[in-house]
Amino acid sequence: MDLLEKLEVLADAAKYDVACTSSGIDRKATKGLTGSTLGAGICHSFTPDGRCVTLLKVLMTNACVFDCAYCINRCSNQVKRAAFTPQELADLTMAFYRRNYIEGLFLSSGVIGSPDYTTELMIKTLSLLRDQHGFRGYIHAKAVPGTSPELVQELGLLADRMSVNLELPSSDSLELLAPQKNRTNVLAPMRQIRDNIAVDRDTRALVRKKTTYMTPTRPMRKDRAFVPAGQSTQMIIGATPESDFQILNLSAALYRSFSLKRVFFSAYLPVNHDVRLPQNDAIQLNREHRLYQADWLMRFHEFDVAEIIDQDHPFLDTTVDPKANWALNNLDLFPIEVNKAPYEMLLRVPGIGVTGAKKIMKARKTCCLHEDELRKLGIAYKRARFFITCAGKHQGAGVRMRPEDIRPYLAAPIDGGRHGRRADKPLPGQMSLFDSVSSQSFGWKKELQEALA
Amino acid sequence: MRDPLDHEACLDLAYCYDGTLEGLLTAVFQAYALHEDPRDVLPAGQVQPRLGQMVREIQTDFALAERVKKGLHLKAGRDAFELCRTVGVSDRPDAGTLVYRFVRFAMKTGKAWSRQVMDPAVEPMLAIRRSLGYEKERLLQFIRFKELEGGLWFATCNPKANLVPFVMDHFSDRFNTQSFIIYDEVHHIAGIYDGTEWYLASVDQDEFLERLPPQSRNEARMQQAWKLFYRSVSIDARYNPELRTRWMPKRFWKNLTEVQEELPSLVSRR
Repeated sequence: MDLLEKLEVLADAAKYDVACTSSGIDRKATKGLTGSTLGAGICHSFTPDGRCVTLLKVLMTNACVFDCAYCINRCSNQVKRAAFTPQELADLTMAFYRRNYIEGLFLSSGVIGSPDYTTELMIKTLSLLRDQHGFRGYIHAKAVPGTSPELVQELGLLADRMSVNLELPSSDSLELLAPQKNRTNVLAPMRQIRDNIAVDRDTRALVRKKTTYMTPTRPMRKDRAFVPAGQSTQMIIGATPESDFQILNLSAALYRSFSLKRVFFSAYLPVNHDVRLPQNDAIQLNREHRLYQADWLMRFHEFDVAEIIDQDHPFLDTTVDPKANWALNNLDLFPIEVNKAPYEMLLRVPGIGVTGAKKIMKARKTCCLHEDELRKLGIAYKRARFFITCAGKHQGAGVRMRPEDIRPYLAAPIDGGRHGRRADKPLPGQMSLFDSVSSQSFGWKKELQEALA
Repeated sequence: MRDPLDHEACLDLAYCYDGTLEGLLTAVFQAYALHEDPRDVLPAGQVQPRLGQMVREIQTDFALAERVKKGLHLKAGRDAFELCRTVGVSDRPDAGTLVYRFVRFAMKTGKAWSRQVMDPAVEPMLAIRRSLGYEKERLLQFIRFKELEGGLWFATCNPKANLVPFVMDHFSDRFNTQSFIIYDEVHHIAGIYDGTEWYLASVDQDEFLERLPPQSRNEARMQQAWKLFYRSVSIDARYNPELRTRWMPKRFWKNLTEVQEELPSLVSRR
């Protein structure tokens, strides 16, 4: 098979992996070697679906011995199979990198033969890149569940970030839909990576303060870096009946216990016909978006998961974002005086983010902030005005401080664009004429679960 | 020596400099030296005198520019000068005026200027710096190198400000194993890295492009591979072109290998 043909097959097969970041580590360039990494990462392109391309995201091979219900590459599917040789892939990565197309390589793989054999192929590729090509760019590698710890260790010494996919928000769902994966073989590499994260003289991992509301573990200093940019995971949303409450608590627990850098959510997209999966629901892009917003609140705005969601309302509000929702439920704390309120309180105002709050803290030392000043600072004034006073005057334009009065102003705009989550139309081919989709049933049949369990 | 311009008429005054940072700093120096307070400080070619406004041409003088730089360093700190340097490359016609106002303010206030973030002399400067930061980020994202015969790598870009000097450090570090040229087709500036250090050249477009060697043998194939990859990783069910153009504005597309074919103007030309 021609290299280009392989690339087409293996990029297409990798596209459902959502994680595509090149952040978390600074590595300066060295004379004579190609590449460097930036802490914030760089997105080099954006596909027609608006997602960024920062790494060459491909599979080593899409041949797979596993039979996971949700996956396009499962062994029971009749799809075109291909595999890169390590040398081909290393050369291709360098050719793309030198043209400034990418920040590095995102290498995942179907399980060919056994998890160990697959990982060995990946290790071969990465060591060709690092040693033969002297590549100092970013590498994200997937740990295949069931790989032996020695190989995970070896892979981790070559990669900047690793991820183990949780795939589904509960271990029951996982065992139902991915019979070859289970809680143990997914969590074992995660634990191993957490315990060994290390930086060397060359790398500077970004251990920002308060990225999550729990303090992350600091990487160790070693002679050789091990997954210096930390690890991430992803799960599919909407294929199984877990509520947002469960999902967010799970991700909070992951941030806390595994010090993950990111938990990615991926709205379920039917690619296989399978009796265990919903077939005709609309893609829950909006739900995915709200979950990410909640995730941001936990990681950057110092919200506790209990403040965002509770058991009695197990799903996030679809019309307003979780921060606005929190503010509406806690209206007695507002309005606050922008010129006096402490940083933590500013951060709680819908429309004021981390950057905005810091700017306000700085600006108000030398002048009194009013509408004009706030707008110049880049505050989303239209949203923030209901919750603030400027020099004692409430900015809410006469709207009464009652949740039902303020809510319409904060709800999603009427015109949300023609595509994407706010377009308010089901995506083509996803909605059946006969099934009505309520916001809480995800086409999941409880009996089915019981029958199969 | 008596001023050639009549002082009575000079209340409304515009300075015209050559568009370089040195020229701008010389203009600032002259305003102090001549005890004048120009209303506008404009680069040549952008001068449109207001009604009754006199225009003074400023001759760029490196020694004077250096003195302004030193003065700023001493009085207002290194950051103040860096801010002027950054804003000075902006294509906005009022950039010169803003820098001049800012220097006046910073020399008066001293290092405390950096706390006055809402002052009308400082706030627009910071806003411009922020937008230039975004533009620079886009250069880092969207520069696309082509391999030419003889191992030279070449990229064309069209930024909104003269920012090539600001990204040369990044690229010459990262790609220190290859010699390359980044050509800014808007400002006709080429950043050239020869394998050891980088420098800038002001070039004539047609002559410059003509003298470049042809593409290497492998280049077309790699471009094709990249386009193929770009098409393959997109998920059709999530199609959202508005989101894409928000992240990747169309003005960059003509130099982006993967999307330039989608531009109607380029298709019809073929």
